[in-house]
Amino acid sequence: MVTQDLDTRLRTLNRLHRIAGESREGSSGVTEEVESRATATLEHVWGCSAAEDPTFRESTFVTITGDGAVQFEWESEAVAIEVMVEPEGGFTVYVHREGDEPEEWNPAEQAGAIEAIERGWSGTRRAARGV
Amino acid sequence: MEFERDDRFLRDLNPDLHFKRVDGGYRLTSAVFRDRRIGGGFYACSVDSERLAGDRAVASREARGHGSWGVGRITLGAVREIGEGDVTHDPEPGNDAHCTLTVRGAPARALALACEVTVEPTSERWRGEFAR
Repeated sequence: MVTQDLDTRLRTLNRLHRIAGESREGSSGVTEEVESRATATLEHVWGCSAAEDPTFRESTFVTITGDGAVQFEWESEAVAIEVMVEPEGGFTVYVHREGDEPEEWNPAEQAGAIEAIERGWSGTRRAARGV
Repeated sequence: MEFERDDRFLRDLNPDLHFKRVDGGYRLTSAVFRDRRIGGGFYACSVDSERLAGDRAVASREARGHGSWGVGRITLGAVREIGEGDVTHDPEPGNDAHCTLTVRGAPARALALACEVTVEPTSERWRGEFAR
């Protein structure tokens, strides 16, 4: 089931890549390098503990910004997480906890982005436990 | 040109990239405003001043090849207070109403949630996926 979910998201990513390339005037869309990093990131995210939560997996959303970054989103009632796979390298992670100011991290490596996702999603687990 | 906080701005909404399905319909994703990085944690995107565009707004959108796209509307007050950004008049050849909207990266999501969809995309695929 998890593998099937991942395949669906990867197909979405691939479809958006094509759409971005077709529809963006004055933009190159997503480069193969960014798509490759985005695919690898999603595959690694699927192996982290946050992805054991069906809410996390089912809320996965993929889109593309005008400057060719791949943007992932996950959300629950307690938190929303946005991850940008940046065209110039590195990642930007925004964590939006209900009632708090959004937080921003700029990890250079994928491991840092995954850690930020795990840390952000732990707010959902705390909320579920009523902590 | 100075804008007032009640001035409204129109953003073209890409049916393939700017909508996220949620229970009961859709909502806008922050990618609406994260069009291009301009440094310092800020993004910029193109909008039209509703006041300056007037009756030419639809023709202008069609001229950009976005006739089947949606339209989002946001006030300058929201851009400043929610998005921590601003809007500057930035006329282009053939489009005197063109402006550049800037937003800080982190609150772009909240700004997208505050953006009103005034025209929905018309493509069959969009309707099949998102129509309420």
